[in-house]
Amino acid sequence: MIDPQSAPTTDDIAALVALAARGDVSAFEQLYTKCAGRVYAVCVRMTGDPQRAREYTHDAFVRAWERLSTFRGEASFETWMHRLTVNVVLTATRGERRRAARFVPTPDEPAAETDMALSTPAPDVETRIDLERAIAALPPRAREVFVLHDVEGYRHEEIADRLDLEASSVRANLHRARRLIMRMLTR
Amino acid sequence: MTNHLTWEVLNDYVDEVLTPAERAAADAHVRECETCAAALTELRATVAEARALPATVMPPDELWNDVRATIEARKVAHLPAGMASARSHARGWWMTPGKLAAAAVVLVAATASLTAIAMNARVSPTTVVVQGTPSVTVSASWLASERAFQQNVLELREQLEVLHDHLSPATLVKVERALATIDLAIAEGREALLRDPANAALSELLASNYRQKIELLRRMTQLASS
Repeated sequence: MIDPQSAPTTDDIAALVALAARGDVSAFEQLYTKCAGRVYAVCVRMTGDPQRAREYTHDAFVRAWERLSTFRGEASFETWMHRLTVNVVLTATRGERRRAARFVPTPDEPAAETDMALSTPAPDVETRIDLERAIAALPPRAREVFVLHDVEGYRHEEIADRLDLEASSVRANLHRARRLIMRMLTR
Repeated sequence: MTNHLTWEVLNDYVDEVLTPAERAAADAHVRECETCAAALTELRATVAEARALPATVMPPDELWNDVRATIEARKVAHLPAGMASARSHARGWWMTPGKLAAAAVVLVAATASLTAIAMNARVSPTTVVVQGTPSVTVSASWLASERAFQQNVLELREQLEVLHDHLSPATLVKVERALATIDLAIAEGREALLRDPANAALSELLASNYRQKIELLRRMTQLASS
């Protein structure tokens, strides 16, 4: 019997996953409780938008529910869930960029974006906005790379693979993000 | 000192991706150059702050209810992945009376939060009856009923479109998700009924799904206009 009041152990997690994969929504709720904060943190930082973060968190858990049978336990459930969440966010943002590109130039063209971002004063720069707000204010691609690398600890090559970018582009976006953040933090 | 380290080199230094030779050259420069040493310290501090951000940010409390509603609905429309094999053995799954009852319950669950919104807004619930509820066979009268239903949906959709701005984005998202769930159930039910036109339970479930769609649209239109 899994005590819902205490933090689930690794064995508990495996049992919950097995139950949820057989359609037990209560078991899945316990998995949700364990991972929701981590999933939402990734979503809100990668999007800079609480409303979209809410939507992507919802979608990540729904997708997890649908794919529970593919969880083999090679990595922890939290790691599996984290990677699935990043995929959900990147797939969604890729689609949004594709749609936006039909009407306006993509905001992630490095030269145009850099010029625009660097020439536009950050809204709260004089009041030293905190790091979370600075991250949210980054251009989309720079924000994704910064969050994946500096917050989540992904390596350059892994980010390049996930974002379908050259490694050099990942580095350029990361460096730009850091420069922008330091300016917003008035460093 | 001139020829300061470039921003790229400073970043690569922090990320420890410089070659040994590049690293040695950068170390030598930083020992002599206060400007670059200060820039390196600031950059390291920024990266360290990012790494130290809290690993969790709690989502809105009600989010689980939305997740639950969606997976409950899909649990019926599509059996969970772990039960995929069961589905392959259940060609007539929609035709099992117990499952049909469960489907109706889940569809209600899928729209429960929307109903709650409408009720909280003190909109009186309206019972909607689609004219000409289908008989036990797919007949000309059934097709006529379906056309009437579709016309009704179209009109309500148009009304809702006009009142679109009166509903919050969150409510609109919920409406669309609930409608998508019902549409999925309708599509699958319709397909099953075409395979088994004499199945009275299927016919009733399909009519029930149609009624639910109409009722949901009507309630949202009332909510928006109030």
